[in-house]
Parts: sequence; C-alpha cells; structure tokens
Amino acid sequence: MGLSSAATTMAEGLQLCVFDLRRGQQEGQELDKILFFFPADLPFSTQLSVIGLSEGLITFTRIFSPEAACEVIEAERHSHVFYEAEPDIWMVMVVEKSKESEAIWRVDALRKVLMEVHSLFTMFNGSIRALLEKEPGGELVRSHLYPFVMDYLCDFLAGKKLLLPSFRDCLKERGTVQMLTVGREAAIEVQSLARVIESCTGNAPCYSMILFQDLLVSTTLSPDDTMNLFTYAVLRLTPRALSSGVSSWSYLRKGTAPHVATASMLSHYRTISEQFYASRDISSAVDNGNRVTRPLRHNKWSKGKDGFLVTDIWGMEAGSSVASTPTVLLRQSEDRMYLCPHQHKNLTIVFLVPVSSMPNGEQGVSVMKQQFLENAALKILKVEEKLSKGWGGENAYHVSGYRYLLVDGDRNVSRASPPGKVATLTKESFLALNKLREEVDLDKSRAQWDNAGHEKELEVSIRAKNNAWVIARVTRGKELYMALEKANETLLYASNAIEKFSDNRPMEEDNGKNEDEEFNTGPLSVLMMSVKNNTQLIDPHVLIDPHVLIIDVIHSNGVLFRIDLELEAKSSISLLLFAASFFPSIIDVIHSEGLVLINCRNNKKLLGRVRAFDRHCNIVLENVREMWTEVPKTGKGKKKAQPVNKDRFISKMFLRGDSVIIVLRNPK
Amino acid sequence: MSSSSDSSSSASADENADRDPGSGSPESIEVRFSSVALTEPDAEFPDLAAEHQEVENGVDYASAGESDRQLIEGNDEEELVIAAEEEIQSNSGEAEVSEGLARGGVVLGRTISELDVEEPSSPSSSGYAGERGSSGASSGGGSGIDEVGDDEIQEVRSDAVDGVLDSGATWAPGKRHPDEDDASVSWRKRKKHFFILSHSGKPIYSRYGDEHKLAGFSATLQAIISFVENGGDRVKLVRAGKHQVVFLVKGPIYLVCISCTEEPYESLRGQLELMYGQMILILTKSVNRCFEKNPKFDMTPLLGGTDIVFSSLVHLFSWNPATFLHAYTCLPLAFATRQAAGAILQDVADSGVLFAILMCKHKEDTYLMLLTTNSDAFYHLKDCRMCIEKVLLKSNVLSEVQRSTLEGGMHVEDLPVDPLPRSGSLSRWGHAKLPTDSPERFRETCDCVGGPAGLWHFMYRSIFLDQYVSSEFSAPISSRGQQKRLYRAYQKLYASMHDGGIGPHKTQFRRDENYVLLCWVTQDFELYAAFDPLADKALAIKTCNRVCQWVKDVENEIFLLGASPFSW
Repeated sequence: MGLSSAATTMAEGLQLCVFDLRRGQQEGQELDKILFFFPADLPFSTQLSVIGLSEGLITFTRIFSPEAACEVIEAERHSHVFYEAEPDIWMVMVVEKSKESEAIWRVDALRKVLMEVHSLFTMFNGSIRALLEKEPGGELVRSHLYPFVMDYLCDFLAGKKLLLPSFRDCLKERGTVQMLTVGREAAIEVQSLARVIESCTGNAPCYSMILFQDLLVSTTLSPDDTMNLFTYAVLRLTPRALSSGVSSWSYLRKGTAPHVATASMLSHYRTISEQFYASRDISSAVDNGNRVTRPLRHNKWSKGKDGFLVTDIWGMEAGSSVASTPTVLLRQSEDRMYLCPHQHKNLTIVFLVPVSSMPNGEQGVSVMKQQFLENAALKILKVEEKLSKGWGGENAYHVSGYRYLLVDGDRNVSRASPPGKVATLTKESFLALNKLREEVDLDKSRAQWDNAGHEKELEVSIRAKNNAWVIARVTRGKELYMALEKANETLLYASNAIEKFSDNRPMEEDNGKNEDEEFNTGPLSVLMMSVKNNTQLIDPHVLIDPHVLIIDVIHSNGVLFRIDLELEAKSSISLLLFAASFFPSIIDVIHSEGLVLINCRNNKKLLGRVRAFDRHCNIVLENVREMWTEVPKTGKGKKKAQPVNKDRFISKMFLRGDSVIIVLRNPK
Repeated sequence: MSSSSDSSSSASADENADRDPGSGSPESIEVRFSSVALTEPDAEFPDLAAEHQEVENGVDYASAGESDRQLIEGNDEEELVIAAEEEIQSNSGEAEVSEGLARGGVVLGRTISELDVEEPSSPSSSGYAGERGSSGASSGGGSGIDEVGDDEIQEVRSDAVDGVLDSGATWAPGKRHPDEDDASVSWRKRKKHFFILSHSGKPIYSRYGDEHKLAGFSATLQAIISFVENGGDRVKLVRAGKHQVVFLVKGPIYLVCISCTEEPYESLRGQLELMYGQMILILTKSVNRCFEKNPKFDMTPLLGGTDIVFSSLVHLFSWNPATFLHAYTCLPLAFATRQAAGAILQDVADSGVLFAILMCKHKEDTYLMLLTTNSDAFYHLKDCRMCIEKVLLKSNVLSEVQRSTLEGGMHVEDLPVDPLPRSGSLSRWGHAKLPTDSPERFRETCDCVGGPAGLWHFMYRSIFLDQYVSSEFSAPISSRGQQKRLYRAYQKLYASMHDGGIGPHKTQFRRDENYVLLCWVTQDFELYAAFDPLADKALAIKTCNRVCQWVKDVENEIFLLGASPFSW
C-alpha cells in the first residue's frame, strides 16, 4: 500500500518523461535535465538511464537524419515514443508491450497523447521554455509540470493500470475535433448567437466556442486554439465531464462503463499524487510567489446559479470570496484570455475575453457576464432547443454495417462510428486495422519528408484472415478508415461498399426531418462542417457576413469536394448554397458568367452559362447547347447503325437539380 | 561455392556429428578448404589460404562438428542459408535448372559434403561472376570486378551526392567508397548501410567505408545495443524521419542496417538474417567459440576478400524477389527436357552423390553442382562430372536451355485472352517449334501498355514447391529504377500480407500514385500483380484469375515439379 506500490504497478506499464537537452551538460549535473518523470519514485539512476538512452539516440539518429531526429525505438518488450515538444525539449513515453494484456500500440496514437498534454500545458502555462527562462533553476517548470501531467494521466486510469489508446482505439483520432452537423436553420441561429456573444464585450476582440454535448457546433477561434480548448472542454467542462467527474477524451470514448469501478483507485491515486507534490508545491510557491494552478484537476468545476461554470482552481480573488476567473493563452496571438464557460442543458458556450481589455479585472468580467446573460439568454434557450430537436442521439452518426473513422487532417476534424458499435468488432479486425493504420502513418510521414506539399493518395483494401475487410483511403489530406465484418468475399463487393458508404446521402433516419436538415445532416454525404473566417477567399461585395460554412462531401468516386456555404445574416436563406470543388469559389462562376458543362441523368450534356442556381442544383441556364447521341432506327435484319451525335440550342432554360450528375467549369 | 558446401554440410552433419566427430568433421573442413582453394582466383589465393589455416587452427575439430549441428538445429537459420544461396543463383534474369537427387539423402545425410563446380566456359567470360554472390568469393574475384557489363545501377544512384561521386553509375561487386568514414557527409547520406560488428564493438563488415575507420561508430552501435540489453530488453528498430535503424543480435555478432529506403522493418530484418547466414556460411558457427575464448577477437581478417560476397548479397536485396519471397525460380523448360536433365543427374545419384543441381546463366554458361555424402566420394565426383558433361553434350538439354534463356520467361503481353484451359497453352516452351518471332512482333505493337487490363507485371509463388515465377518486365517498367521500385512495392506488399501477429491476410488491393497492386494469398499459391494505376478494379481482378489459370496451365514447364530438394 502507499505510494511506492501503487506507482510501481503503474510503472510496469508506462514511463513518461520530459527533459531539456540544453540543461545538465556537465558531468554530475545530469539530473538537471529532467523536468518531469513518471513514476516519480523511480530511482534516479533508472530515470537517468531512460533519459540517457533517449538522448543518445537523438544524437545518434541526427547523424543520418538531421532533419528528423529519433521518433520511436521499438524493442522486444518496450516501445519508446519520442516527441520534440519544443526545440530541445523532448517528451518520451515508454510503454510495455504485452500480447496477453492487449498492450499493442500504434505509435502515432501514443505520440498524439504527448502532443495533447503538451498543448494543453502550453495553453494554461505558456511554453516550457518560457517557464525555464523565467526561472532558470527549473523548479518553477517542474512544479507546474508535475501536477499537470499527473492530473492528465489520471484520465487514463482504469483499475490499477493506465489504459493508453491501444489497437482497440484505432477507429478514434486524438487531436481532432468532433463536430455536430446542424440544420441550416439551426446554423443561422448559432451564428447569431455567436454574434451576440461578441457584442457583449464591446470593442475588445472576443472569441467564442459553442458545444452541444461533446460535439463542436461553432467556433471563432483559430484551428489550433479550437483544438486545445475543445479538448479541455470535453475533458472538464461539458455536461458529461461535469456529471461523471471523470472525463472522456472525446464523445468517442465508450459510454460510462468502467468509471465507477475505478473511482476508488482514482481517488486513492489522487491523494498520493497530491501528497507528493504538496510538499514541493509549498516550497516553490513560497520561493517564487508563483502559485501553481491545476486546470486538469477533477471535480473542480461546478455550475453556478446563473449558468456559468465556476472553479476555484485558479484560487480566490484576494480579499473576497469570489473565485478568480481562469485564464488561458492563445497560441497564435499569445494573448492571455479570461475563460468564461456557460452552460445550459446540453449546450456549453465558452467565450474568451482578453485580459488586457479588462482594466478592472474580475469586476469587469462579472459585468461582462451580466451583460452576456441579459443579451444572450433567450438565444441560448432557442439554440439549445433547436439542436436538441435535431440531435439524433448517441448513434446519430452510425452507418449500419460500417465501422469507420474519417479524419480531415487539414482542419483537425474527425468523425467516427459510435464507440458502442465499434466495440462489436472482433480483435482480429482491430489488429488488422491497427496494422493498416500504422502502414498508412508510415507512408504519410515518408511522403511528408519526400516532397513537402505533395499529398499522398492511397487506397488499400485488405481481406484479413477472419474474412473482414479493412480499408484505408487517403485523399487530399483526408483519411477514411473502415472495417467491414460480415462482408462478401470479393474485392468488388468491398469496393462497392466503400462507394456506397461515400455516396450515402439521405440516410434512413433522416426521412422524417425537414429538407433543410436533410441537406446538412445526411450523416456522411455532408461530413464535416466548421465555421471559418474565410473572408480572404470571398469577394467582399457579395459576402455580407464573413462567416462561411464549409462542408466537405465525399463523392462517389472517393474525391472529397468542398462546398462553400454562405450564410447571410438577415435574409435567413441565402441564394448561394451550391458549389463543387472545381469552383474555387461560387463567386467566380457568377462573375465570370462561367461556361459550364453539365452531365444529366438522361445521358445528355448541357453546355451553357449559369444565371442562377440553388442548393438543390436547380440551375437557370442561358445560351445552352444540349448534346446527346442517338442510334438511328433500323429495319429488321439490318446491321445496327452507328450512334449519331445530335445537339440543339436553347436560349433560356431551367434545369431541375435532381437530373444533374456532374458540373464542370470551363470545359475545353 | 563455399556456400553450397556449407549449407549441405549443415543439412547432413547433424546425425553423425556427435557419433563420429573425429573422422567426419575435420576431413570435411579440410576438403572444403581444398575445394575453395581449387577455384580460388589466383590473386587472392595465398592470402585466403592463410586465413583458412587460421580457422583450422582456431577451431578444434570436434567443435566444428558441433557448430554444424547448431546450424541445423535452428531450422530457420538453415533455410536462410539456403535462401541466401538460392537468390544468388537466380538473380536478375539468371535462370537455373535444378534437379535434386536422392532427397532422402539430404535428410539422412552423413558427415561429409562436397561440391564441385563445372565451368564449361572460361571463367573470365562475363559479368555473372560478381552476381553469383556467394560463389564470387571462390571464382569471381578477378572477373567480377573488372566486368561491369550488366550495367546494374547503384543502390544509391538517385542520391544527389552519389550521382556525383559515382558518375560511372554502374554496379560492380566489391566494396565501394572505402575511403569514407562516419565523419564524411557522403557516407552519412548513403541510402542503405549494413554493419556487422562483434559484441565488443569491433567492426567486422561495413558496406561503405573502411571498417577500421568506423571503429568508433561501431562502438556507438554496440553501446546502444548493450545499453538496451542491460535494461533487460532487446532493441529492434529505431525510426527517425525517413531513416530506420534495424538491429539484429545473433550471439556475439551484431548486425545493423541503417536505411532510408522505404522497405518495411520485416524486410530489412530478413536481409540482416541473410547477411548473418552468409557470414556463417563462410566462417561456420565456430566463430562463436572464438568470441567465447576471446571477446576482443578480431574477425575482419577471417573475412578478408569476401567483401564481394556481401556486396553482391546486398545488391540482390534490391534486385531479387527471392530475398523476400523465400522461394526460388526455375528456368522455363519443356517438361520432357527437364525430365531428361533430371534423368542424367539421376544416373550419377547412385554412385554416392547426394545432391546435384544444374544451373545456367546467359547463353554459354552452365553450372553443375554435386554434393556427396561421403568423403571418399569426392574423388568420385570428378568422374561423375566428366560423365555428365558427356551426356549433356550429346543430348539436346543444353540447347534447349540456351533457347529458353534467350526467350526469357512469361510475358504479360502473352496472357491468353481466352480463359479456356489449354486452348492458349501453345506455350512457347512446350511445343518445340513455335515460331519465336511472331509473339515478339506482336509484343512490339502494343508496346507501351503492358498486358491486358493494364497488367504490368506479376509474380506467382507456388507454396508447395517453394518456387516462384515472375513475368518479364513489360514496357511501362522498362527502366532499372522503375523495376527496383516495383520490387520494393512487392516487398512492402509481402510484408503487409504476412504480418506475424495477424497474418497472412487473404487479399489486398492497393492503389497509389504508381501502381495498382493486387495480392492474393491462398493455401496453394500467392499471386502478386502490378497494374497501371488507372486500371479498372473489376478487370484487374479478372486478369488476375486469368494469370493464375495461365500459370497452372504451363505449370510443368515453369516449375520444377516433383522434387523439392530444399525443404524450408
């Protein structure tokens, strides 16, 4: 019992360290390098040997590969996963392999864990290097890192072991955002809510992020910051995180299963870690006057009467009983922002206000919160109601027969089969898919070194020993992985299945919805959606609102098209809702009065100029040349005649969208 | 030919080694040396002889027998040894006719093995010597180095640095860039390094650079390995960017490969295993004893002059699918012809010959390899050789063989369009007088597209026979670079299909910028096919079925049926 025993049981599975290569250069000062080591009670000699090996290999691999130093060491019993978090600051995770306990890892998935903890740390505390510069002794950074990483690791605790993402998690992607697809009506409501929130702060730049349950609805932050804040929100702020006390790293995580069982272990472990750094804590706090905050501590957030989430993690306001408002750092602007989360039922709104814009500190924040409630309360009710109505439940994104994961690497967005469904796959399928993902990871990273900018295109379908198909498809930075069990034997069946999957537009469960929603929530035709500031792309005259929804579609041939969806603020429905990837932007077509070639379902082609179109692909065309081929009729017994090309001219026409197959711009 | 001699001795020595070590093993070693000496190129002879002497002195005879037994005990080791030998024989278009005799003999083998080499043509005739790899040590020395007729493009050809350094850009066996060491930039940029070192960190072999200058580097490698070992673990792989460092520990011998080629870990490891097998072939496992006695034992002199062997082997890793398929290939021959050849060899089988193999390369050269079970029989072998030579000259076997080597193997363009069995089997080797020029002309017309449905190339491996057949390269993959890339793609496909934990998979379809690759593994065969990247999936699948049918139709001509002398 006690510290050592608990730590050693965990140590068997995992070691994690952070070290700085610039420190401890002299003989005898090696300990200075270590900024963090888990388990902390490991003898220093062992810690040093782990770090020594890591450092040695970093140096060694640089001989051959100066551009990319060591990424992983695979040994018979352990894998060492490297991540250079900041220049010369390395994080190394050592995990034990064991076939029996299903400890089979995908290196990239483990590295994503390191990345995640580091970006979260940076979001709250600033970079490790900056902390080191602030206090060269290193005590400051150590006192911050230790509780932070330990709190983070607690999330992986299951029973007596830390459960890191293993091969069974190969249909999940850490470091991505999961989005809620919303109907257009709802999207517009969300937009206007976001605007209301902005107006609360007056002139100061303010950012907001809106989540529905564990899914992102809207954000005005940069992608990186969105990622970090989303991760944190899902870990600690969303209703699920608040109620369970133990977070899930995303909505993908299996329901609520093992949490109760682990609770006791967890608390036990927590006390240990608290004991451990309590002593350090005090000394360092006294020494430096720097209080250590622990943003990842469990059960520290609670919902106030006014709907705002509060916490005392950041301590109490001096001289009052009001908790200080948490702050975070934005990665791009490096501004420190107040973090104000508000929750109404399933809807969580996080908004960020620059600290600099609040000259009177906490007072200003509470004034702003008041303003927020006054202005936005009604809107929030409405949005929540709308989203709840459209929400298809936990299995909203399930496609029967498929277990899939879609990742958009460019925008850090992913979508996957619901975890409950994924769990039905057999171990063999998981292993095969995990292996395939490893291969694709390797291919991707090689492609990245070989020719930067040139994206890998790849399609692999494997029929595994257990007759399941595992499939990977990489196109233009988007990745699709899936497993098909109970599938037919032939490869053609498998590829048809992919086509169907990608093609799958109106899904069964959508039948009852109104057509707005059908358009936007067909779970797979419209895959990912994010709100982006896209002003630079769009002609400002046409665009009234700078917010443009971007929707990606996987088309039947596997190509991902991007649809730019413009939302206009006042007229609730904008004219332009349709484009395909060949249109750099919709505006182009209209302005250039673009000549387009349209393939129709009746096997005729239309060549003409677009006057107008809508989201159903209904198109008004001018000066159209309709072209088709005909086989002339022949008498009995005669040889079949050759097909003849025919065409006719139509000056103005309205084409109903359902007959459109393909639209090509500027056919030559 | 030391390789063959060793592998067979390993195959045969186990039974008798402990019963009869004194009379058997020493003689075998002696005889082997003499045989090596027989074919040793003059220039290197005195040198090597001295070293052989050293081995004899260093290793007591009983232990030699024991080491042979060790070799056979690890069955995979033996298989690799043979694989190493095989791939060398059959490399890059070189075809072989092999016929095993007295299979039982191999299994029951007695103590002694021997082999003889017949070289009807003058040894200096062509570039094969280097390519034969393992045999290069014995017969290739002089001719291999000066002969670059094969125009093999160097491994690192595409590397900018090398492009400058090796403007010749031709492949010749033997050590290159011996002046480099780990401080030179060019050395660091080589695409694929191989190192062999001892457990005390002494360099034994390095593909590039001078071993002695690399002592410091070797020590680093050794430090990494032993550091991890101290932690109760074994390092297998380090990955950094495009580079992979693969480690293999074999007792006191450490092997390391540092590569930035895209080959998968499993393949690189297999290559290290082959290197080790090759080394053991040359030195026998008794080297382990030397290290036991003296950990600082310096092995480099023992391997003096064998650079050429290793460099050939390394070269083959890129050029011979046998290195990853674990199968060998045959010269296509009419069934009757092959039977005739077999019968000829069979004749000598009764006279104490354990094992005979007939191989050929290019037009003029034919090799005969004979192994016996008995030391006395060695002298008998020469008679056998004469005898076989005579019969061969009389029969039409040699001319058939020549014709076949001229024609090459299967061409994807000839894939019968009609899937009906046998209708398309006017196979080019079967019915003797098929005019050879007509398919040639046909081939030229559809030059740039490859075979039907965009089929560019295929390999078919028969699992029971441990043999594979590979189509000739079609026009879309005519350049050396493309060919090598295709082999690499196959290699990757193989590794992906045969993953240790979960494999083998059944089918794989892979499309990237370069190819559509299809792999199909059944209990009987494995098919690997490469198509145009735009090939239609359904058609490609159909074509694969036709290829399988085609191969089955001509099976008795392209494969050596009935006899499987190498059981691995």
